[in-house]
Amino acid sequence: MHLGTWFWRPTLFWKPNAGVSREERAWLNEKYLTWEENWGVLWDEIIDNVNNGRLQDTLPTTLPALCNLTQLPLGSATSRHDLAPHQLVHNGRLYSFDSAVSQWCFEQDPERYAGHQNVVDRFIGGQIQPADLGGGLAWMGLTPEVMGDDVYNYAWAKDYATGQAGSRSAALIR
Amino acid sequence: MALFPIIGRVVGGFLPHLVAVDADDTMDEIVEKVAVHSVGRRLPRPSRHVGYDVLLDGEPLPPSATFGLVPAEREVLPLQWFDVRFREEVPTGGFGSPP
Repeated sequence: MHLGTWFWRPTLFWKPNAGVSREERAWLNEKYLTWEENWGVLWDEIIDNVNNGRLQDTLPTTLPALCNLTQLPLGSATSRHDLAPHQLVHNGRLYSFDSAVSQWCFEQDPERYAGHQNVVDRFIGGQIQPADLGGGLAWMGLTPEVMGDDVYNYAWAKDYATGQAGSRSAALIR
Repeated sequence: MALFPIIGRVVGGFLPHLVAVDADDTMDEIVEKVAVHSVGRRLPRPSRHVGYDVLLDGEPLPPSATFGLVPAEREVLPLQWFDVRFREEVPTGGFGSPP
């Protein structure tokens, strides 16, 4: 959730606080034994991009797929290796879900949820123009002065800038 | 040109993306369209180019096939989930390799 909200920060109306300093990373590794393998490797790529001036690669260029029940992005909240599709066809339309639980809820009462269009459905249905991320942001009323950005202006990433080439392994052994 | 919306996930990534593919796209072109949102952004590039496969329902699709030909064999609806997976790296010349 932290990584997702941070990466799609232009779609937020607040400044997400999610970047991990070395000290915070050490704490996460102590508390969550699989954090490094699941999330650290992804943050490493982001940190590399931030510290090498490739901020454009830390920003989204499309929408995440969304759940037709919760409206939240499909994605893993625990292990990225457990991420699996949950989809079903109802009256000829394919619905996507963020978990087996959400799919189960839909199956209990499909008419309650069927037919609703989430942002992605509206996007591909032509209701959001232009059909790109910029069009989506405009549709949401998110202008540059209100859209989210890193709350600390990426200061946490500078933690890794010294000896950049070795930053990944250094983070792992701390 | 007939754009078609799919959900594309690079295996190892933590979420899938909305991706527009074309009926004339080969699987290799679909790989590029899906991977660009993850690889080099949150997923590291492989240490060397090992290639990718496109999978539908867990089964690899022929790399030279075009997207437009897939629905003839499999039901593909808008927002169908496709996976892109790094091919396995085959060790060469290192410790443990056959002589």
